[in-house]
Amino acid sequence: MIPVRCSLVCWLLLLTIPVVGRGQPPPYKPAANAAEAIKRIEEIGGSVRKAALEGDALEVDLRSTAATDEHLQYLLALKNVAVVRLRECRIGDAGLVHLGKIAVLKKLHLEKTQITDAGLKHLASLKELEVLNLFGCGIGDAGLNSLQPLPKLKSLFVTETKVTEAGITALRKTKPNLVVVPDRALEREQAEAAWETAKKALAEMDVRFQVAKKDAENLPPRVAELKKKMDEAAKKLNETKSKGGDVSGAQAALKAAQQQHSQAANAAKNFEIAQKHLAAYRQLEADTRSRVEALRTK
Amino acid sequence: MAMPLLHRRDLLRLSAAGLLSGVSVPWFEALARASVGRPRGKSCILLWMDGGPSQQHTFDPKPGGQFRAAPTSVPGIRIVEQLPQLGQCMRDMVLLRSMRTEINDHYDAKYLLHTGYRRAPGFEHPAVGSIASHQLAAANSDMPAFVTIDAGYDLRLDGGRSYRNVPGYLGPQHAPLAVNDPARGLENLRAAGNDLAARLELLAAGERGFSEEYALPNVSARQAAFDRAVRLMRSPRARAFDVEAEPARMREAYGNHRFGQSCLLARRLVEAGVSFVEVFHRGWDDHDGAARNMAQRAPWLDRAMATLIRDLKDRGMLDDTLIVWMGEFGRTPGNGDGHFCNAWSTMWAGGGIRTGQVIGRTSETGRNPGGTIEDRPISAVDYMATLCLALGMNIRQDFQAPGQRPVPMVDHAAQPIRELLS
Repeated sequence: MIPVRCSLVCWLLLLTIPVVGRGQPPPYKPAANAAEAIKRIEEIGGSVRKAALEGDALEVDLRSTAATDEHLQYLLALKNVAVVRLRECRIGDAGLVHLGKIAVLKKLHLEKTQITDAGLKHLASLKELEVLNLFGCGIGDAGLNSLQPLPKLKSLFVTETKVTEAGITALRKTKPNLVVVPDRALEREQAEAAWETAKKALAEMDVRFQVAKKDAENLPPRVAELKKKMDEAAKKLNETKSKGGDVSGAQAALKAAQQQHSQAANAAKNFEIAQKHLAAYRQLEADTRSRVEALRTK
Repeated sequence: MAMPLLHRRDLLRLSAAGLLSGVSVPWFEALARASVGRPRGKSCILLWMDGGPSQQHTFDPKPGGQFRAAPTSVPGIRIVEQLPQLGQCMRDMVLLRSMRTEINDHYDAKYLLHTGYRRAPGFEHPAVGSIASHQLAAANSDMPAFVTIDAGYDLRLDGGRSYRNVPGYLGPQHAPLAVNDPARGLENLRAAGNDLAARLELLAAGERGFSEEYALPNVSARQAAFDRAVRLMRSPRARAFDVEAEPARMREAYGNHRFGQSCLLARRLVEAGVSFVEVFHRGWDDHDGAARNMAQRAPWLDRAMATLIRDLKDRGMLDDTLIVWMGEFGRTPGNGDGHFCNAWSTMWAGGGIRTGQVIGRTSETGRNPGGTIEDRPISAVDYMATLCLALGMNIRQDFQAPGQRPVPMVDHAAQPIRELLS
């Protein structure tokens, strides 16, 4: 008896999961209260959580779920929704009408949704909105204009949209403290600065490389000679020591001879290291240069 | 746990009893406190340089040192010239230059910096990734909360045995999901054959009888892990594990190196809702001096990390994602050929913390420049407390270890770096 019962349960489970996963969400049914709304949001694959440890503000996360415009009405049954995440949902302008009614909304994530310029005007009522993420949406400068009435807007993300630098400049005229990403001018400035650093480092590395190269060509044949000099210096130090005289001069001479010998003996190895370093610096220079070039053509 | 979660099943039960049917305020209070659960907090991408990276060859260069310092986008802050793109991200970064962590042994230091506790026989503390999974992940998510990515090694493989992330007493459901190669993503995600449903049904029938007869935590934990795997197999979000789905120009931007591709995968996972990703790259134990090895690592490191910061920023994710770059300790001042836990650096970026600054200062004079801390020593527990706070956790709570033994989430002696938190 038991196996039959649980295989039924099992089947029910297996039937429901693919439905959620493959994009056929349960149809919208009005929620009578917050608890019901939370239950429905979870059925679509989303979650409702506190937005911060303190306070009772909520965050609704429907990222990558099959939520549709209609489903956003569940959010209106909840109190104090401060954050809404709708990345990669099938949400369009009709959904923005519902979102426009969440007067306390502070952060709205609409990345890669189907909203358009025409729909953004529905957000004008969001007097508390601070962060708006429109990454990868099909919006342009006309849509940005509808964001003028948002008094608290602090950060706006419009990467991979049709928004132009001119459109951003126009919006910033009335919102001087608004941070808009991407900031092409800043990106270019930073890319140029990175390139400068890499160029300078490469030039100095090149000087060191030439020295190492010369050493590798000239010094190895002198290793025996320098070894002899070093041994002589050591002998002289010992003699001075046994005589009980001042050893400081002899010590310095020995140290210098040792250094010369080691430089010659390691010249080939040092050249090999310098070659590797030079290659790395060249790579850094090439990487920073190609970024500057890419930003210039953008 | 201070705050028990009200599960959906309980909610339904309450609802059936008529408790939740009204529109009165008290139930909403209860709902806000319990059923909706704790906040997500921030996600974390931990970039772990296994073996111990040299601070003087990265973020704390010294006059007369082997690597020269170059200006960054924040006036007055300088890092090595070998990281030019990262230097230009300085406004989104914080350098913690005064780590003092007391352990110079690889494995014990890895344990300490992953758990906030010293290793002790017969007891395993949960890794910070598991703590994040326990504290921040949504209970009903189809994505795993904690993922580790093996970014391989370059020059050689040493630096002691790798730390194994364990959930300890938090339970096996908070163990990490391991990705062994970023290019291959999550293998076995697709079932062999087309009779998966039938096989799962058969398995469930057998398991059910067993779990009814032996209702032990281990049994239900195993079942939970299995259910989660099946959920992940069916989830559209599982595509996040496939870096091939990313446009070619984006894959190229992160660099044609396994570390860069791992960073890209980490970004995709965080985007899909994963709370904690640890990317580990091995072989940073430069006992023959750090200069040669660091010079060769610099191009891919600079490119991958700068691209990660810029990409997260472009997507509006940087404020919600904390990047931490570190190893188990730093390296001896000068040529970096030894372990050094007295005064070393970590780098944090994004996460909505107060970036564009340096915390702590090391000395510049003496025989070993940079060998001592002159300002704000950061202990391992200070670091751990700051990390957990930055991710949005309540650190003043105890976990219940076996034997009814309370263990603080972070040692109560910790002094979080307040000037970092906004």
